[in-house]
Amino acid sequence: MSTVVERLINLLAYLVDSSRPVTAEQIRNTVAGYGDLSDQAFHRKFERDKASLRELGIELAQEATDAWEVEWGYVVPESNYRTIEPGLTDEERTALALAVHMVRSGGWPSGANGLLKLGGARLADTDTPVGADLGLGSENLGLIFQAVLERRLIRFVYHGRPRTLCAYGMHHRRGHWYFAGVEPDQDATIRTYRLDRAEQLEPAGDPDAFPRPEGYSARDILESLPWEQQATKRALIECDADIAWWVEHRFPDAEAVETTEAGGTILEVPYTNDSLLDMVIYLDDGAVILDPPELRAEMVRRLEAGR
Amino acid sequence: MTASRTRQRLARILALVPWALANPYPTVTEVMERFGYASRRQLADDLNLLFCCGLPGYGPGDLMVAYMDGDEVVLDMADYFSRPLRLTPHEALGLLSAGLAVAGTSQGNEALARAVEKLTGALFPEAATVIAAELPPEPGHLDTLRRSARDGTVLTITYLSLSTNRTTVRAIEPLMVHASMGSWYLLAHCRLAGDRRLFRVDRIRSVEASGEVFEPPARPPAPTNVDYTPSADAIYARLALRSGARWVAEYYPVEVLEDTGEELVIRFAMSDARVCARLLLRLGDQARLIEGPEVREETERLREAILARYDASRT
Repeated sequence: MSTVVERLINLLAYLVDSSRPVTAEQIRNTVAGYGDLSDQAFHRKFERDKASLRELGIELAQEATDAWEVEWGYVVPESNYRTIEPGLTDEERTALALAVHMVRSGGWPSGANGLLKLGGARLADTDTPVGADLGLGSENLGLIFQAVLERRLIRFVYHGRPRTLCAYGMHHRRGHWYFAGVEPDQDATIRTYRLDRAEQLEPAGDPDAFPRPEGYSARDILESLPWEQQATKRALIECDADIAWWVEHRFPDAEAVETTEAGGTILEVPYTNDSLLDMVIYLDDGAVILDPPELRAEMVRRLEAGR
Repeated sequence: MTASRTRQRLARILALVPWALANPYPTVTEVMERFGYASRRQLADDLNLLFCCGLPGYGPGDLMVAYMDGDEVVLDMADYFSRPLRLTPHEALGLLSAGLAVAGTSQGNEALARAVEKLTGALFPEAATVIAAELPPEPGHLDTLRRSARDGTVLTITYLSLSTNRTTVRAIEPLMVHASMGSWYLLAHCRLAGDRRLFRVDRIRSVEASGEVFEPPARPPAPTNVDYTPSADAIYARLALRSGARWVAEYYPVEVLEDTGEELVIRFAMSDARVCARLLLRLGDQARLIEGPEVREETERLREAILARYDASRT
């Protein structure tokens, strides 16, 4: 049963080959696979077919068939064809295919399609027992990327407030996608937004709406996120023997300052804010904050709050 | 044929045709490898399909010519399909971010770095770093785990459990490692549990080869979802979240029952009461437990145990 695929290929061939816009009626009467259908059945089928093509990146457009704009027909616009040519070698495409294969988890059904469009790749070893989730499943990713690429404004609602943004770039870290930019009417501070918290996201306006600042780097933004700030304070945490290694591992700048009688370790841990408390709570009664007194007091206060 | 399989097939055919027109008479092997055909038969099916498609009239002069001639693929009469299709924004971002992320790990190599550079240059000629993507840093044991999953070596690991903070020693058969939500995980058959288990790699203290081997599965299993999905024996609790704890509803897969404005009431599902108990302790006065006997008991036990340590450790 290949009639759907055949019909779609015939439809596309007809549209691409024809030098002028073709009406739905012409399609119905001409393209193999649409014959003998009721009006309703034809339109349902045709709409579904357009949607299938759209998912592959082929957007049909409508144009007037004559200067009087009485009748409209379909065309395959230029924008459906590739204008960029990265010029990848076979070796580079294979390397990219392995990377794409590796980030397959987390839902990204069309993952390999992009690579096929660039000419496919010989993929010798797909049995590598390594996977990664780049959170590529979200529909909004394509929308923001296009806005970033074409420098087009986007509109969305964030924490209940509507915003318009010149989105300069995007980055992925720890399972989440972020985008960053400035609001045109606000100060020039670049702010970062988490993609999955942006609601009612839509492009607004034309391409080339703003310049990307010279030297803009999504990587710099990544490194300036709050939790990447330099730790300024130091806490002393006493950890049980079987937990201390993990805390040292989790905080590479931590230093063992003393071994306790019970065989535990007192660690000096650099920290920036109260989020250290969250980590310590997850160690249950295997660890205790000794210093500074205010951090210790805050921990006790928090524990007693729910009593 | 399902809708997604139809699209997959069409996507492959529409990628194959412009490529085969630009590179005439490719070998069957090359086409199969490049476009991921599992068998010669599968490719033959697609070529036969193309042979039945073409321009209206659909006579011999209108249909495409597509067939295998011995070791070669012949494709003709399809000039209208000669231009390669654009990458959708999602496809372009996916290729670029996958390349960027993997290039930053030990799995990266020079060819990948060049591919990423070329893709970036083609997409952003202005040469700015517009997209960044990274995977979590690789813990020290990751390479050993990856190799033993591939080679089928049984390992003995010392593991600090995420849920209990207890250390156990287990013999495991590693199946695959994967990165998700900022951490690396190991999926393995655990001989201690007699079942598949997910381990967080940073909590593995030491790894030793046990000297035994096992037969790795022909294909690595699909990565296990790290997100918790409640099973039949899940424990439930009802919590009220104040403003400082509302993030919980976004972060955990919870069910929102009511929003009074002041408090958000949620239903929290878990396999181990400790998950919610720790969360409650962490949230302090920003959350309260409305209902959930297991969670209440565990929260009180944990609270008193931790406070006892603070009492005992006068500074």
